[in-house]
Amino acid sequence: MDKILNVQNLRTYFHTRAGIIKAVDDISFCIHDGEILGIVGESGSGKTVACHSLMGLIPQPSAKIESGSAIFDQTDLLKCTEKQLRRIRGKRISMIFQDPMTSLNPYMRIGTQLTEALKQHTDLRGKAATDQVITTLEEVGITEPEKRIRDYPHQFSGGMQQRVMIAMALITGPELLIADEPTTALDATLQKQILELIKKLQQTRKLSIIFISHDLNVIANITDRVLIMQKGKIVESGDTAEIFQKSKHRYTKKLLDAIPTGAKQHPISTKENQQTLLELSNISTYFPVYSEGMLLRKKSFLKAVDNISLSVKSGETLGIVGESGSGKSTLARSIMQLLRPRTGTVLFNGMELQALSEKSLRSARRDFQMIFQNPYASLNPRMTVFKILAEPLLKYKTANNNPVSEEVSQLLDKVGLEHYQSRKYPHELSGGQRQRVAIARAIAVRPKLIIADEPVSALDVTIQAQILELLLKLSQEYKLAMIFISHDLSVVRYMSDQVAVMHQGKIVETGETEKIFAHPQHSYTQSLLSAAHTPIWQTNTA
Amino acid sequence: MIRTYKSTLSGDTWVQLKKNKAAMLGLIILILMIVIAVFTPWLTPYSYETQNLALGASPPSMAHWMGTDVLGRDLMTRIMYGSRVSLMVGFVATIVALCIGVLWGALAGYLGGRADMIMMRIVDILYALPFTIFIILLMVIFGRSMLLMFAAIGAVEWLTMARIVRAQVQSIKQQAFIEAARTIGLSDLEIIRRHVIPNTLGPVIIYTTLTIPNVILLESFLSFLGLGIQPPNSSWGLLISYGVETMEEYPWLLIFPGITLSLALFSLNFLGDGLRDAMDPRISKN
Repeated sequence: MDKILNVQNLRTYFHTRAGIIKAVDDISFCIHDGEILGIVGESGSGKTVACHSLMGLIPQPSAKIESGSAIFDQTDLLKCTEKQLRRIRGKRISMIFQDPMTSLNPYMRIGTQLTEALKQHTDLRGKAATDQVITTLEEVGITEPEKRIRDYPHQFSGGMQQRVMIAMALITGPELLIADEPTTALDATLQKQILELIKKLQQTRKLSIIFISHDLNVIANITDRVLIMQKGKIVESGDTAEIFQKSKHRYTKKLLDAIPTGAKQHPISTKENQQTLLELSNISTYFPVYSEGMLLRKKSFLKAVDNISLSVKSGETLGIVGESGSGKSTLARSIMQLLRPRTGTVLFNGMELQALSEKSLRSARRDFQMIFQNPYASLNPRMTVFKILAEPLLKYKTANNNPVSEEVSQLLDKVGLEHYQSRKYPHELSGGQRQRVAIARAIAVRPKLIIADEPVSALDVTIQAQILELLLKLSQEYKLAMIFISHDLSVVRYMSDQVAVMHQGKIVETGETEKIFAHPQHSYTQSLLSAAHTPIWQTNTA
Repeated sequence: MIRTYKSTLSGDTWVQLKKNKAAMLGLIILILMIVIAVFTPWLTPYSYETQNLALGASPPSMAHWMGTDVLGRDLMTRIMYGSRVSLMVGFVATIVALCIGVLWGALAGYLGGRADMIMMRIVDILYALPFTIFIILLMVIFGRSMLLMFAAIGAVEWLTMARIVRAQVQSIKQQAFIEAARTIGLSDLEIIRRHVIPNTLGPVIIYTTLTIPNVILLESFLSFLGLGIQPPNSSWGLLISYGVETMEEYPWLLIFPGITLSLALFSLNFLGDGLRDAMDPRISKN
């Protein structure tokens, strides 16, 4: 096989006021004709910067390519002028990006955008160009492309938008495609479809693809060869199946181990005589959709949470799983009384929460706390860690007479943070540390129930594993009941005693976690489970 | 320890501000100006109102460092006395506008819905009122007084502040840390005070430093209408507007008050920028 691209000793450094950051530090790799090469690594490992360096897309002058060569069809991409690069970029090497919604121009019809890409690089004009656009859209699985070229990006769903992006990348007939986390923003079922599409296109068009992802499952499923990157260096590379089954490098093993697998270690069986802590009956939360015009007239309702009944026993973890838009977060916020449900009752610890006055609800809040998805947004940027943790403590003047500073230190110990970190501001902490602070804030007032809304989805896989362990440890230690919300089936399975599957605002199935995973009854649950990839390195070695 | 919980923000801010040379220079100049304004009667041998028609308008000399005006009064003395009025109007009216505007905007933005609509329509109505007519109306009803001038300026300047703060609050309200504060069980007022307002400070400080010069110039307009101060008293705004009239014959009558005002504005801007950065932990680095 011929090498279509050969990268040698690529170094890209960022020159910042704080010093030099070696984003890409002496990497060499090549990609053969008709091969899918995966690049895996956690955020900040340099996988995106490496590919952007090849395409001349790095932010200059702060970033600089220090050395190296990248030979593509006898030309060195790193030595090309911007003008020469523009002739290659988008024509012979194309890219697809993570978020299709921000990569497409919202004010331009799909057809126009695709035609524009075509005009840049070919002589096709008018009818011929339109025909080319329509055939390409058909190829990526858009139905009735003749009509849809007149639509705007927002009229497409997320999966369809990503298909349009792929069509845009392929319309000029490139030889090499760089896909930067193309499925990360998509739900599991869509993700599977897009991966299948990419694989099919690669075969029919004899494409070479560089596939960047942080998701090991995705990489294992689609790539032929894989590079593992850490801190700007390639730590391991080789045949995908080989790497995943007998990885040699410590970091690769760490990555693989970090993926939650199997069931919860010490599940709480339902037979034990437990008290019901939280009881939801027929909860519905609707969002009014207003008609246009000055006078806000109510028109219709979006049924985000539609007649849900659930119960959580004390000390038990209930996992709620569902795709984006299924109403998981709305349900969490309805339970927390951040949104007032339209109908139904939330019975917590014998109290009917909606019936409480504002004031008594505020004091009742002590017993149920929440951990939010994005630790970058859930901490006030103008407060130090100390102040963030002291706030709930001072609010409830916890019964024992420990000084607040003492209590804060204990909390920091509990969540595995150093004492000196209490003086820091959130932006000075890493994502994992921030989520630890958010967890500490939630347990500060010793609640009985914690609702964790996608607490790890914004974190890297190794950090994710640490946070999950911490949550498990704390829930056992404090006999916490927990509602654990996630779109990730394996994470939910790892964390929960009971699981509820949510779809379009309704609970379609609920029961003991292992029973549901072994014998899903509802067709939606079945399709969810089949879309989730079984990690090949486990199925094969087991 | 509970004390540190309350006081770290102001302490940190001061430490950060001290590192910013431009801001400190601005602060020193402003303090100097205030000190001069307070002690003016003891600092100058001249009176601001005694005329010397024989002398008339004379260019800067050893006796009169900044020259004299057409009535032979020492310009420097008049600028110094003028700074008393201008600085007071500038600060007091701005603080009035700041307090009303921030509170009103924060409440409207935070409460949202119908309360927001009503509160902002009131702002719109006040916006639509022509300023001159509003002032004349006030004068007819209450007569002339300095207090009325503060009220008039404050009543106009807080409107923009309220709009700026409301827009800020609306975006901050969406952030998860506000929901987190609600789940802790804080009351709305505690949330507004501790979580919402501190995060609006950046734009507020910048707008404040822009408001003060606005107000200082507005005072001269009001004085022209007869609501502000009357000759022989002086203010920077008045001195500048007289200076403009005689610009061609006696340029120093415009130049010196102009320099004084500019110096104050530069100092304010530097201080404002410095304060904004010092209060934002994401910008200031230890």
